[in-house]
Amino acid sequence: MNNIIWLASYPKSGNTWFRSFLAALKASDSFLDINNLNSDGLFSGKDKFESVLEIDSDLLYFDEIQKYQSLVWNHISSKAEQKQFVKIHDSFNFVSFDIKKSLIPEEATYKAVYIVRNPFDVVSSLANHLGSTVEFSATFLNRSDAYFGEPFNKRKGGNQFYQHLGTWNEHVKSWLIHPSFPVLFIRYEDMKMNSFITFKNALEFIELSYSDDQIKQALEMTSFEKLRKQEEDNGFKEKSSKAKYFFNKGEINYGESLLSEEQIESIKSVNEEMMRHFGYWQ
Amino acid sequence: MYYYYFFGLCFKSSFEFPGIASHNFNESIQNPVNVFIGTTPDKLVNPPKVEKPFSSYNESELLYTFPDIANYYISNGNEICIEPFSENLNEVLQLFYSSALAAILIQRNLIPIHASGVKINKDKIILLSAPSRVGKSTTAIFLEELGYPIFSDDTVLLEIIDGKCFATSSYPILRLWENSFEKSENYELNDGFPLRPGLSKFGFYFNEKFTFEKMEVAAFVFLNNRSDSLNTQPLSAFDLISNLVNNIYTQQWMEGMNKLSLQFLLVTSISQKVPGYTANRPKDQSTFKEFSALIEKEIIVKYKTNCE
Repeated sequence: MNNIIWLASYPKSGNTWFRSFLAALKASDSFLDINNLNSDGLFSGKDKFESVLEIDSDLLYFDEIQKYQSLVWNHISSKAEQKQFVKIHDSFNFVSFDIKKSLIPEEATYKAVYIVRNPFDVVSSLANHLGSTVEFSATFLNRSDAYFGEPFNKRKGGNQFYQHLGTWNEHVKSWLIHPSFPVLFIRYEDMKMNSFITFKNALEFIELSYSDDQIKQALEMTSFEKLRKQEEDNGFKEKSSKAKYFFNKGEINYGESLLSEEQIESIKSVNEEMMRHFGYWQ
Repeated sequence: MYYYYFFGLCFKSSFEFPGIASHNFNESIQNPVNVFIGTTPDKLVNPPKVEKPFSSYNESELLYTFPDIANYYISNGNEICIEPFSENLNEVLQLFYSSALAAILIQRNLIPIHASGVKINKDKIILLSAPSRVGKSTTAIFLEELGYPIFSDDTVLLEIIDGKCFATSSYPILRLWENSFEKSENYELNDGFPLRPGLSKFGFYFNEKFTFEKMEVAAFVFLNNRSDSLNTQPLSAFDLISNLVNNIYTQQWMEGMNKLSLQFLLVTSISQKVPGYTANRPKDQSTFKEFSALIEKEIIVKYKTNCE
């Protein structure tokens, strides 16, 4: 019954890279098509929701959507013959009508992998994704009411439901303290600097068995340069219309240099607890 | 009793549909679909082929629950039983329009497709096909502003008759998000009704402009909102087939209702008879006016020029 493994993160933290890596492991030849990652969906995507419930979700109110999301993922989990890797950007939150009921259906959940990234680098990547200034994304990261998808109180026909993010600190902390299921936290910086051992540990956690050679090949297939080259050649369907490229820089420890002292202090003051917890505090 | 035509079929209803013009009974009406308020069964008469949280179905029955709104039981292509829980009939009928009608069609071996249509002359239409939320209705109302009247919104019934592809319009309701019709010249908030109280999506009746007769399909235009620029491209017959299959309305029912071979026959026949195009635009951008003008220039005008 509990067949879902959530691939969770604050946006622009390496989630797509991790999903690409899983897809590369499964690819029968040595080619990975980034526009056909064959992942098992997005928690807040309307497509799975509508396919399972056979309903136009545009006809539903926000609290109905929250109530039915657990039905959808419980159904998918119960019908699945193997583990389902589902992307999620929502903070680990509780439904609006019951503060004890988590939005994410724990009964359908096997485990989760949460990818965390230096918030200064997230700011830069987020600015590219949103087509905004660094100033805007620095403020976005500090907002308790920050969200992705469509607004919950004025829906307008987007492809994703409202996803509460909160501040970067609130998002990371929510996944650290609330889930009743096992969550493996991995840092983007470790994915980058110690790729083999970090990905190998993640695979062990989610109980996927691949040889060292297969892991190395999948990492080679999903190097930043290869993903970017494919996007340049063929585009990437997950790219925001406001961004030039989805795979933008992929670097580490560069975001701080783009920020003013005031912006750095502001981010540190709001996000101190989790920055310290995950080794981003200097 | 009230008589209505949806998708070209006659429906005999025990209650009046708000906003939809009814028809007089005449002797030529045969095999109408009976629509009535009643108690829906707890389960299907025959074993279900598919069971989901809100629905179960097989080749001849569909049982659907819209929690707190209504239950719907559609059977044998000739009966729709509605058990309402909400007193708001508009709310109850949303699932009638979007699901019950499609189930009746499929039970009668008729295939609906996800498409809005506009008339390009007195005999022919083009169909704008895409999944939900890509902009079918909005593109249609901007083409309407360019002089191409609305034929159908969201769904049409497709048939091959004497070697030609014909479409039948669904019902005289156009559904638009508030942020879509705000930019148009022809639709205003006061003329519409919210699909459910408080929602930002509105329905607009167009009884006076509604076309009951089948019209010939001049071209399929598959809309896409993931492009970096506005453009149109012709489709090969192979790509036309895959686009048609992807846009069969309630495509997920085809297997459970045992209609895959019927679907295959229809789309392969269409691909030999009607040209297909993709029309691409960027997502999240207000490009509908330019987009519609491009479809007019690259597809409608060229089609008319070639025909004349």
